[in-house]
Amino acid sequence: MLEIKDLQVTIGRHTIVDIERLDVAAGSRLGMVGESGSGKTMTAMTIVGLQPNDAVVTGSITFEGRELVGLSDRQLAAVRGRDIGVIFQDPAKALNPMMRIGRQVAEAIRLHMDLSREEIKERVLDLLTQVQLPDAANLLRRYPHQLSGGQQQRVLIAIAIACDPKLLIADEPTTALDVTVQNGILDLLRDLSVSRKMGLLFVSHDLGVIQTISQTIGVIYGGHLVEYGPVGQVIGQSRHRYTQALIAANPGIADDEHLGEVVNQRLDVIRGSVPALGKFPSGCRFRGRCTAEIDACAEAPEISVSEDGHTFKCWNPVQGAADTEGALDVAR
Amino acid sequence: MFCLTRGSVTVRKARLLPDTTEHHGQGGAGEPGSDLFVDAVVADVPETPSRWKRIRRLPLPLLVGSFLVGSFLTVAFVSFIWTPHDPLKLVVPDRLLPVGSPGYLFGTDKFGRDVLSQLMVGARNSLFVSLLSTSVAVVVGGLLGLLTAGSGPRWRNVLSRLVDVGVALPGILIALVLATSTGPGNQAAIIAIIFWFIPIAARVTIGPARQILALDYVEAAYAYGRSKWYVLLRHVTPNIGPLLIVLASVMFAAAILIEAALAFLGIGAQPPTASWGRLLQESQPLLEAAPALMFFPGVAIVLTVLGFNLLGDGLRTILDPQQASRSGLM
Amino acid sequence: MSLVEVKGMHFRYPGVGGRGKEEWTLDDLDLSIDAGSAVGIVGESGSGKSTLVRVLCGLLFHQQGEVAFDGRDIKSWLKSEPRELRRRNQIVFQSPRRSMDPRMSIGRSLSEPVRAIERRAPTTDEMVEWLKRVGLTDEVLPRYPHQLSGGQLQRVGVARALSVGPEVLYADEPTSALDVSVQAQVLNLMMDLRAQLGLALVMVSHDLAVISRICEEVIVMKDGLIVEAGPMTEVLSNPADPYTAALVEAARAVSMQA
Repeated sequence: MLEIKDLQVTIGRHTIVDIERLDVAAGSRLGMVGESGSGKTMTAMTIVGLQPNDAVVTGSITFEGRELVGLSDRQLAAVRGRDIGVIFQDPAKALNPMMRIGRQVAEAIRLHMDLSREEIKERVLDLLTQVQLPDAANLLRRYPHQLSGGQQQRVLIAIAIACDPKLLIADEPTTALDVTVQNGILDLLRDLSVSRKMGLLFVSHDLGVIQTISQTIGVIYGGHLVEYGPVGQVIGQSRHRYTQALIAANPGIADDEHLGEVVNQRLDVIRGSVPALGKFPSGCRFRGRCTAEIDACAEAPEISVSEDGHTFKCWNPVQGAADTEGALDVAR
Repeated sequence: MFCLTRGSVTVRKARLLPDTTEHHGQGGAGEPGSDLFVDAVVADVPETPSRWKRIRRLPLPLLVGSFLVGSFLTVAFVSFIWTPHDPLKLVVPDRLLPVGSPGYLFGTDKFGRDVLSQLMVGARNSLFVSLLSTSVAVVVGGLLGLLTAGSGPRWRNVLSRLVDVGVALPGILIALVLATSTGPGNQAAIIAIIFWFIPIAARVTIGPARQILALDYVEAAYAYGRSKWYVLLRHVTPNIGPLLIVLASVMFAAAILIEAALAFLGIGAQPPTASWGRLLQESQPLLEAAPALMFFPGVAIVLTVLGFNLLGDGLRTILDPQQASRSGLM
Repeated sequence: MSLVEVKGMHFRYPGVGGRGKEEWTLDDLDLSIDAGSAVGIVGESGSGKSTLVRVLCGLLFHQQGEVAFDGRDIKSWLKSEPRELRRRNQIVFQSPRRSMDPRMSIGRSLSEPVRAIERRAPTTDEMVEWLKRVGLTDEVLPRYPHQLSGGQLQRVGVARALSVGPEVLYADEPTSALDVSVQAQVLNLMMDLRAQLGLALVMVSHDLAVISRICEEVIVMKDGLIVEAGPMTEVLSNPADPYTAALVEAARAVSMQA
């Protein structure tokens, strides 16, 4: 449903995003994980044309067969909201504090669909119920500040799915929320994706969250898609060294039996820090921080295949070298 | 110390003190710093470019503003030592000479006084009034603003309301009242401007000062025992510094304008003290006969006010350390 | 040996909940912190955990109850020996960028605690020692905050806090603003320093995973109340309070299973 090919986003002299291939099938859930500055948000924003004005985009983003790169702002605005919904990180900032909830949701509908006032109102109530907000009728008249963070985000989800989009892009939607609320939102997004056969592109820096919500994962470092594949594969059998390092550096909560053992044990670190724009090493972007660097890493790695659908770009991956022949074709 | 060159990027491992060994790679548990890859600082310091290049990189408003303000100041200072003619001397036979007359570059007014000399002395007057009033207003108003921002909620409310009342007072009326009670002249203008501007300076300072006070580095300062006034003066003031500088330059520009306006109205500088405003006023009845008499003081005011505004804008750009390093100056 | 003892402490921000409304930001808290221990304070937003830490280290002042440091009430410390109190209690903040004065050089910022508490300017040698402890070099001294990365700034923050040799280090979400890869570095640093210097570490976090790695004891807060407190392994595996149980369950649900 969504196909990205050879996408490059450049600002000034810096290439922020450089992705050869990335797909989202209809009704499936793709998680993009990376640290700050990795380009994951830029990629998501570029899909719907919300990249910065001075960004130069080359390559192809096809959505249901239609090319999105190069479309005018107006054309993209038509796609946004109707066919592709977007939700952002901070719900409090995304809602108009001066407008009642009901009206904000209604506006989203009115923009793209031609319905009567009663029809719109019915639809709004229906949407609010679908996002599991209790007492929808009363909520219509409330203002955003009267809702909790989790409720606000649900309203935003309602707005985003108001016109039955085929794809929902979610950029760190749970990062600003408490952990007890996070799970509710993640469950909601998962249910909506399944029941509406709506694709979900979920962007986050939190591996745990990504692991929970996604079916496929793309790991992004320095604007490059360094590993991609089904969740179980990428996390359970990571090939790229960065993926491996990222997983190791993530302090998960140990099982009850092991809780006592890991206290005060040093965490695995990734050496150094993410380079500033323009200061990435030539060749493999992860050079200088990687513990398994070899001479070949001076050249930018090509895409290799691990198993069907699991690709990565590393010359010296975990579990040895892999097959690069025909990798690009096999990769979905 | 060694260098790794990757492509066009040179990553230097930084020096440590001579008697220590470099730590890198995985170290033993409990050994601090052992796995903290000692990386080079994020921003490499660029070489300082030649002086001409640095001047060219300065923002345009700053250059133009500096030029205008510089000219203004030069004229004002030169007038202390020399003017083409004595601006006070009435030479009635030479009255109303046109521009370009021998010896009188900009002509003379209805009493035969040299326009250029009067302009120069007028600059001095403007400088004096504006400098004094603006400095006092910014310092006193700024302190008042800091005090308000740093106070507990109750005092802060009281002081803020007072400041608001002050802002609402019409400055011109203050000037008029002063002029009628203490008599017109430069001192009335100075005091009027000071009272007019103090609340404004205070109000402008309160918001940003409060924002700074909410920041973590202020809490950190309290955490290591700094007093509130230390924080206000050492942390808040420098960080609202650019704001104050812009405020001062805009106020300076306004003060020049107000000084001229008050003189024009007859409440400010009195004859024979030269003031651009008075020159303007005297030129009114002679508009048809000698338009130059209005032109020159008018242009002087415009250019000076413009100059200070541009200077303020330019200074703000270079004084913000982030912006400065982006334009390659730091 | 108990360093910090809190009994019946109530705190409310001035100006909040006026007209006799009894709403405390921190409501009737009792807790104690032993020398050299590692205590985690967890809770969600609005639980009061950050406020608690600020009261404990003397940045905010409680209206009722007792907060005692080393046997004496904080208010008495501040009257007679304020600098000594400050010296022995230091704090590291969440946002590295907001905790450094952008107009002060790193060297100057680093020297501030010693200047304020010991009334002297530290020598360059001393500052380099402090930097070395956190994995930085003298190169950062003349720089300004905007020239350093978040991780580096946070390390400077830790160095600064430790420069006066405190006994208790409070850390308010010290890694929340950092990337995961850098987070691990800073957490390791804190563990190492605690081991080396015998510090008591009191860390606030919303992230149970982080707390479970660093802290031996944990205090759970909700809406200004302490809901549960005890050894970390106990509280996480056998939460007595339903809120704690819900918190742990939610955290486990989004935690990495590799």
